[in-house]
Amino acid sequence: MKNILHCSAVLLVIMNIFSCNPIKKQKPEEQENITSVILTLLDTTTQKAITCSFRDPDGVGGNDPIQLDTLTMDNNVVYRMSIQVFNEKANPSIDLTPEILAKGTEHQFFFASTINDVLYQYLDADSLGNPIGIQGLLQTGNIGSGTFSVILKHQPSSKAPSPGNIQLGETDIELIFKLNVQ
Amino acid sequence: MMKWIILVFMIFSKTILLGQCMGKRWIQIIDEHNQEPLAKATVKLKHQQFITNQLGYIEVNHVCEDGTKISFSHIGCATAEKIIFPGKDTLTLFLEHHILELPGSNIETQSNQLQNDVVIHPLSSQWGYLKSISQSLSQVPGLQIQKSGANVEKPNIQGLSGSRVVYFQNQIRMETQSWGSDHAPEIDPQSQSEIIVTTGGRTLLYCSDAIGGLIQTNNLLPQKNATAFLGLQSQGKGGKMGLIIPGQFKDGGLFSISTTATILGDYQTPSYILSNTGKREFNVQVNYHKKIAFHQGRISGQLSLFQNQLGVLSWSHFGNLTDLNKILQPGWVPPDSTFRYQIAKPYQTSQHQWIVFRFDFSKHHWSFSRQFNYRSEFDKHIPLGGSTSLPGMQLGLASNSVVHEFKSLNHIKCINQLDWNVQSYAGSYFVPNDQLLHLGSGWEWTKDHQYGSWFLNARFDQWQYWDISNASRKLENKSYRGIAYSMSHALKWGNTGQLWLSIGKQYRPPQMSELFSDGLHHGSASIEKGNPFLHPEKSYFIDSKCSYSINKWTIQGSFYAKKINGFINLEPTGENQITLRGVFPVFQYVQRDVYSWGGDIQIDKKHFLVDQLQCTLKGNVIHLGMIHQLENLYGIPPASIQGQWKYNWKNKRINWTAQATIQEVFHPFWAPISTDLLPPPNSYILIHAGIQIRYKSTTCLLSAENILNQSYFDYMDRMRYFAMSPGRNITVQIKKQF
Repeated sequence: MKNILHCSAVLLVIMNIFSCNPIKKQKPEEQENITSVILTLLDTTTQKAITCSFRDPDGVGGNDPIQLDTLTMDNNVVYRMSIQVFNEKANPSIDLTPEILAKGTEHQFFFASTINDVLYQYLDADSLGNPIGIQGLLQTGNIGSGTFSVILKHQPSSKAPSPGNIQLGETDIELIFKLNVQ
Repeated sequence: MMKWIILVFMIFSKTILLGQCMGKRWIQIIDEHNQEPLAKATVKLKHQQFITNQLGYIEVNHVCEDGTKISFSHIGCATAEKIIFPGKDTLTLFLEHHILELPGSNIETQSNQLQNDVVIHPLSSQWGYLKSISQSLSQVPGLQIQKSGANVEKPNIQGLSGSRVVYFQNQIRMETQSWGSDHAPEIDPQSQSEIIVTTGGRTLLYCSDAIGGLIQTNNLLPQKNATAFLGLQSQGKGGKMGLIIPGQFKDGGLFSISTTATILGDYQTPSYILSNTGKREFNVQVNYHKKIAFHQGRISGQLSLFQNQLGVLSWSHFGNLTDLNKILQPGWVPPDSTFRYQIAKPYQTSQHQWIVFRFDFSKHHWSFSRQFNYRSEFDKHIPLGGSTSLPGMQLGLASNSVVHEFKSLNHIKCINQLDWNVQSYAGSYFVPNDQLLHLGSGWEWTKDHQYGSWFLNARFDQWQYWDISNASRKLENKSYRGIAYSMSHALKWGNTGQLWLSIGKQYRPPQMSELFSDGLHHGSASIEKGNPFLHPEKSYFIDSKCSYSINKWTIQGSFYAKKINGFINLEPTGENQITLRGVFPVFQYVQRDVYSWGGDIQIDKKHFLVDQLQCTLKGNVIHLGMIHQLENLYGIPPASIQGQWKYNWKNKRINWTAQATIQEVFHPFWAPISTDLLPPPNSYILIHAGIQIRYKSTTCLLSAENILNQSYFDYMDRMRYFAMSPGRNITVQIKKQF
């Protein structure tokens, strides 16, 4: 009986050793940490600013987004557009834009509109001279309505030279705003 | 006068004989594999015969002081002999079932007489030390393999899988299968003494929710022989090795240490390398077993650790629906990649720790266990500001169980279970945190008659969930209870036939993920939403099996049908949800009334053309559809047929076995198209072959699967959307017993 108790004790000790030390217990991190995007457009002539936002503070899933604006711009105007990206799950919210800039060689914004004469021009570049898209010029043409897409691609070790390749990498952001040019 | 003299002489001589042998001894006969008492075992003395009772006990009379030789046997077991002496204690004798090869299969199975269980002894398996538990079971009638890539495989029984297939290890439930279709059971088949597959009513003794089936593994008994094996395979350019070391303490306690390790690199299709599909797996377990004087009991213990790291096909993780649609285009070509052993993101790691103590007394068996399960997922996507080394999600599940098993002399068996589980997640939301208290009681009454046996099963369960919470809030507590029942009849049919019939009702409470999931499923680019109003599924089933042998022919068949009320199914709602990553279709768990039916047939012919050749033909079909709707359900295994030829011969002391198999898997024409990402694949034919050499205690095997390197897509593989199945696989395996 003594031996049984000895063996049981040994097994219990081993059990506790194993149970308390699972391999590499690391605190995980949220994979979907971008919740909000704000486009700020500054009329290069009048210096009048417009903002257009998408906000989904609890991230993908859960509650519906609380804000999805329509982008309304004047016709035949050149806007200086800047993009800010936030994580509003965190308290206080975190501005992730500097992170995109810092990892500019892995990221690129792409823009597209269903209105043909809405044109975009990159103003920024990463350390290799390739565009990022946080700063740019957006030029409108005639009056019209359609959509304006903002796509952020994560392209680690695969980012193509200017003007970039939207087919590569993973999609971090894909937003389609309604667009009115008036 | 002479008759009287002879008669008096015989009586007198017998009296003298018996007078010398008046001792008694209680004997219990135990099945060596599963440690279960063997009822109706036969014990023979020279002039007498005894039959053991329901608990395997018999008192043998007329045992001589200087020893009496007995022979003892049981149906399906080899007869054994032993010299016994009179005594007051109970002598435990072990019988080993014959390991019968299921005709035409790659596994060695043994069907319990007049029961519907299929028992597999993996260590005795001729054809595969490299196989996963699902592959080891793939030849069981009604069982198919459901895959999620090259390394994740789960059994699908009678068209049902996931939490409808329940796993028990040493009579304790394994709790992690609620974690989804890409979480393979943490069982190394080479460390198991036996694997038992049960369908139908007798599953109620253990659980109510094994609507598909029940898979039990037993490995508490230390192995008898030291065994070493090594297997190498061309797919992944790696292999698996294992070692079992038995021993005995001075106090008579037996122990064994068994360990296996697997290293594999990338798999390969006939056209391209499946990037990042490597595997690392390590398993160690220690078993201890000792008889104790108290109530002729015994104590058993086991400590085990199972852990793995599984690579996930690199291009199967994508950002959003646009990325997915790009991959699903007909002209899309997988990116070029080179073979690697390294596992990169995305990958998953899992760990399963297990400790169990079992105390067996004459009628009562107690088991105490603690299991800890741990899983981490490392996504390819690295969040902004994130780290390359941190997982995106972690799941933890600690489970504590007490099981009491009782067997009475009047044919009643009862198993009572008490489980307390604590589940938690961290990182991306998948399933909620919760605590569960489960109380279950299963009863079985057996009545034997001249032509077979009746089995009546009944069961009660109560589940109480509390402390349920997701990322942002506390959720409503849930409570479920139910009663299940069944009636089964095993019937002998002449000398070589048997029929098994089971009817009854089972139920399954909804899983936490079905109730409360809410988030983006990267694998299908969809938003999955739980439904907190789900109620338990109720399955009304009929399950039958039969077999009959005549001359050199054996025919086996099974047929099953179920009506499942409130079948929980993930279906598209028709809505799209706008997210920052684009627009995703929304899927939600709903309940439907469904029906299913299916069957298997197997015909064996021994001495086919020549004495050494055995031929087997078998096929199966499964159907599962929704009542009142035309659409069938997704993921039902396609029909298949298989022909197999096996040739055995002996050359001096070397046993040779050559085997060839042709398998055709048909196009799953019942599969739904509107809810699937891609149309179901075409039918395909695979050819496998192998040769095995056995000399004394050494076995060598050379085999080739998919010998023609056929390109095909497996409908049961979730990764078929992204890549075809692996091509030819050549294996070399060697096993040595010491």
